[in-house]
Amino acid sequence: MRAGRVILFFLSIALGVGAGLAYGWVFNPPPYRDLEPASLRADFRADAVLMVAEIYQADGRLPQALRRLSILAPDRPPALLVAEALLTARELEYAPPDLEALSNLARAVQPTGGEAVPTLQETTATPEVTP
Amino acid sequence: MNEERRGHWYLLTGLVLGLAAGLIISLALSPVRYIDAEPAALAERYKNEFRQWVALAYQADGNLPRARERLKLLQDADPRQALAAQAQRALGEGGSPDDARALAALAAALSGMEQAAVSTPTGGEQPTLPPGPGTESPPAGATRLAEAAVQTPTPPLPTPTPRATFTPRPTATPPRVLDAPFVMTKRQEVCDGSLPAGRLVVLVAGRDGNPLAGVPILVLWGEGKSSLFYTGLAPEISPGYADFQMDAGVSYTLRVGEASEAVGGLSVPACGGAWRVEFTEGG
Repeated sequence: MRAGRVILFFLSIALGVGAGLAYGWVFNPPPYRDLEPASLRADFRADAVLMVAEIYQADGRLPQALRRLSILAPDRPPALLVAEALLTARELEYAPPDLEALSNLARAVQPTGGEAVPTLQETTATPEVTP
Repeated sequence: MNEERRGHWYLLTGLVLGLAAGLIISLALSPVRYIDAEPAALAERYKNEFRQWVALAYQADGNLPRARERLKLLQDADPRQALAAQAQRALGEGGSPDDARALAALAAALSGMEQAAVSTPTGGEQPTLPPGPGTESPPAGATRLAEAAVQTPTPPLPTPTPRATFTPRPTATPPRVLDAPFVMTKRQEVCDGSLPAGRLVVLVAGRDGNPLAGVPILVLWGEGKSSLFYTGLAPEISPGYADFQMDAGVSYTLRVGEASEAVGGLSVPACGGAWRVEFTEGG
């Protein structure tokens, strides 16, 4: 009799946990808005990185490019983010100039060693600008 | 006997405990996280950032169809308005003038694109942007502006604009470089009530006569007070349009572009109307 009550007790707990999870995950999830860029689909993220690369190619301002990349994925090293974008871009067969822009950005962010915050030394690095 | 007297409250207790644990897990510890989201679902501040990038990328590569497709991803009701409003906000909040200019230029370029799409099938004159001197290889870092938009009196009609592919490259639209002073071609008091009282309206055109967006306008008054803004923030009126609200009894000085002669003595007209001042690039 006592064992039966214990089993029922744990079953009721399990039922409560299930109901709580269902409420938060299924019936009342957070609204699909006000999301962060880190949640973007890979192809959208790759295009966002491409924009950063295009801007960087035009103005050559690495600190700005790093700041933009950190907005896209704050907890991911910029070099990794650009590398992933480059892979996605290759898979999606981006045009060669786009791949080149991404490659240039990948090369530029490489020396940072994955640091999201640019150092003073980096701010002086002004790569060749292709008008 | 003792157990039977306790009844079934333990079931309710277990249920409440479990429910509390489930809610804590699903709402606080491990809430739903969306992946594979679309840009339209981003928070407003990130949408602003995205819009800014689109404008700067357009400034860099001059690829208008691509910029348009990117803006579509944000699902703004009116992308041009969103760009213009963001440009105004950027200026109002002391943001970078270059960023505001890029936003304004893209808004104006989109406006021109739609108007061009309307005017093309009518067989009317189709002004094109002349390749100005030095535009084949603009200097690095030079200010690049969108091509002057085509302005027609015809109101925009819904036309089937061709859907652009997502990664096209620039289609040889040489960016403009402002290299000549602007000359005032018209200065007129407007007393017929068509403009709000005290409004200073500035219209700037390029050498080809087309409205020019992204031109900086500096208004000075009093002891060192000034306001800097750009044409193109109201593309629905004209890409070359900008305005400023004057206070009564204050004299203002206006300068268009970076190397133009200042136009002084502007104040609210005696009739209580407005000023309309027009400038053309290079005279």
